[in-house]
Amino acid sequence: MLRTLRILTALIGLGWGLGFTGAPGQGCCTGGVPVSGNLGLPAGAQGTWQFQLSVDHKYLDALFDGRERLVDELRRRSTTSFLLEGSYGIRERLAVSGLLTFVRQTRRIEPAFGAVDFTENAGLGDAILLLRYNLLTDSVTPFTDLVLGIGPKFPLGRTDYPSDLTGILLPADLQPGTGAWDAVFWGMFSHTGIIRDRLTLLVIPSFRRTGTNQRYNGSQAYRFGNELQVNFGISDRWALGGLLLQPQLMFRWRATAPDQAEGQIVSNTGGRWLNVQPGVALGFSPALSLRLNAEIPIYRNLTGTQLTTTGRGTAALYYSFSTQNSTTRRP
Amino acid sequence: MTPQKVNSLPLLLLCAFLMIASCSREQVADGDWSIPQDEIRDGGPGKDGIPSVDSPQFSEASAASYLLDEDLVVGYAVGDDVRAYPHPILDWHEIVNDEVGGEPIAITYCPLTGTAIGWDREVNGVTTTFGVSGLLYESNLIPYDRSTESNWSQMDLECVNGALRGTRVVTHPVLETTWATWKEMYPGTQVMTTNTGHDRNYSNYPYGDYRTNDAYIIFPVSNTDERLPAKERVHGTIVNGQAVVHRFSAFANTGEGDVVVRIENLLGRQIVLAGNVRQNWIVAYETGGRTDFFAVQEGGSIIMEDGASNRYDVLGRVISGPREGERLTSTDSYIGYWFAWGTFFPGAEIKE
Repeated sequence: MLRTLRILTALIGLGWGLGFTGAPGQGCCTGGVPVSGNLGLPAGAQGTWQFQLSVDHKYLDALFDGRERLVDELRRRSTTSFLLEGSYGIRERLAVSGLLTFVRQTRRIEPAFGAVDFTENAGLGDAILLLRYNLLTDSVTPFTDLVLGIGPKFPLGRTDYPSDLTGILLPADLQPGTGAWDAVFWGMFSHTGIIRDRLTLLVIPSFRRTGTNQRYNGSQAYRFGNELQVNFGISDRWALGGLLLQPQLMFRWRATAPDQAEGQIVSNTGGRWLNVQPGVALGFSPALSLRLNAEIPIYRNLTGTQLTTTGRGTAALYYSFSTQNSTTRRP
Repeated sequence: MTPQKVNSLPLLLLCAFLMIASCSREQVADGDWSIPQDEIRDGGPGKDGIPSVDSPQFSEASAASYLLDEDLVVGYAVGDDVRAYPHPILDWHEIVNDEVGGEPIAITYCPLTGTAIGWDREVNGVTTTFGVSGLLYESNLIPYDRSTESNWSQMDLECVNGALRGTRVVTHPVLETTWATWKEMYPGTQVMTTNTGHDRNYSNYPYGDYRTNDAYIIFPVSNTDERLPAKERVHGTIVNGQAVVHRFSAFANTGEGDVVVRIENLLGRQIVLAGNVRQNWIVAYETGGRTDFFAVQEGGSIIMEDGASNRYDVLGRVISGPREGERLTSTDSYIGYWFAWGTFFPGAEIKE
């Protein structure tokens, strides 16, 4: 446990460091698709299939200059993502999971003079394939999981959608895909039995090392900034009639480095965020649950001036089943 | 959570996702552009996402404490109505719709090409305002007019899309120089305040090291001319669709004073150019057939005189002499980053 906390502390430190070194955030508007932040299936036993279908809606109308919110109601953005994550336990400790995304993005501008301008785009987004290894098994530590994962985010989504109105290629942050291969490093630590029997500490760090994509028919090499996220918090479990109620209070620390175009730092990209995520999961059965989350920013420090997230909501339906007779997982 | 035996729910989840994903969109293309459509970029903020200033507020020069002497401003005057539009505001808004001495004018400024041009807001007899379309052509601002929603190319000075396609811009002679110089030339000037109707950090240049980093071009251009450093500010004069570019070094002090006047035949047209390296400005006007302009070195706004004792200010106005009250015919000329001139006018002649 102590060692895990050290690892977590080191990852948070890396996040701060990324911001300071200017290493290679997702556009001058942070309307990106929350792919790595939505990875989070629990460790599964051998022969276990797990599925999660999520709907994630992010609303952006807060214009920030560094840490200061500007009084501005001109621009609004939204990103609605449908995410399907599946996982299969190949062996007792080893599982493979995949994440498919479908993304709808909108941009709305309401000038004091002139007409409202509305642009939207939707399409299949990028995907992640993740190999996950459970360092701790139930037989050793029945109340602790430590899972590490690694895999590629591959550019399944298109990056060449034009505007319906003008026919002009939409900007990168209105495209469903990024056009780049990224490497995703993911981890999940959970420990049940802190303070109370059913209280669980949960830490989910992820790091995305971004690749480069070729924009404008290859005339520009563009790279979104690396991204570090650490989701951490606690969840509890209460039996409520036939339901299992699982309230959750999580925090999400996110740090992105500035983007790079042809190796040059792109202004007004990158930053650091700390959000609080209250949520609740309703367990209809041990294998079927519905999770609802809100996300509210509590700290934002952006590079330059950027439109950033005002709020976010997620609904996720989880289902699991086994293809083997014996199950060893604790309830 | 205990895994259960297989049933049909996973398939339903997958089907639900695939149904959502199959809602693909149709592509619609509007080809009504006189410039190559594949060279037009969506800059990101969207139409009017960079808000023009449509009710600019002004103060006395002494009240503009937010400006540094070395900040660049764009100056314009009609009669005694003298106004300055500072880069620190233009960097954030790109277009200011104003009325100076009763003339409707739009100061259009593209921070990516470094070009500031005064546009007449009266188009085909209709007074309009211009907004920022959010589109860029060769990294340069595409304003749109709010009367017809037509899109215009700032550097090409022409409507390139919409009902007014092919219409030329009527320009007004503005001066781009430092705030210190403009104040010295026109002490009674008014200057825009930061009360723009929008909340922005005007003390912060929004594009990082863009002004000085030759390698940093945010939106790629189709033609790169490396004869000069990409971000060197040069003055270009457009004649019949071609351009001649003057470096500031062409107006270096020759020993007679800071103001240097050159009369040149540019692409078949007689042009009088004046510049001052120390004060950071270059202007160009039609000679009107005269060949006897000479520099005036007395400070203030008077920069040259002709053989008939007409004295001209930097905006080409005859301030004293037989033709007092008249003004030189302006040219399609402005200052901008070299890479932009090289892109828009391939092979442009460079005058050292």
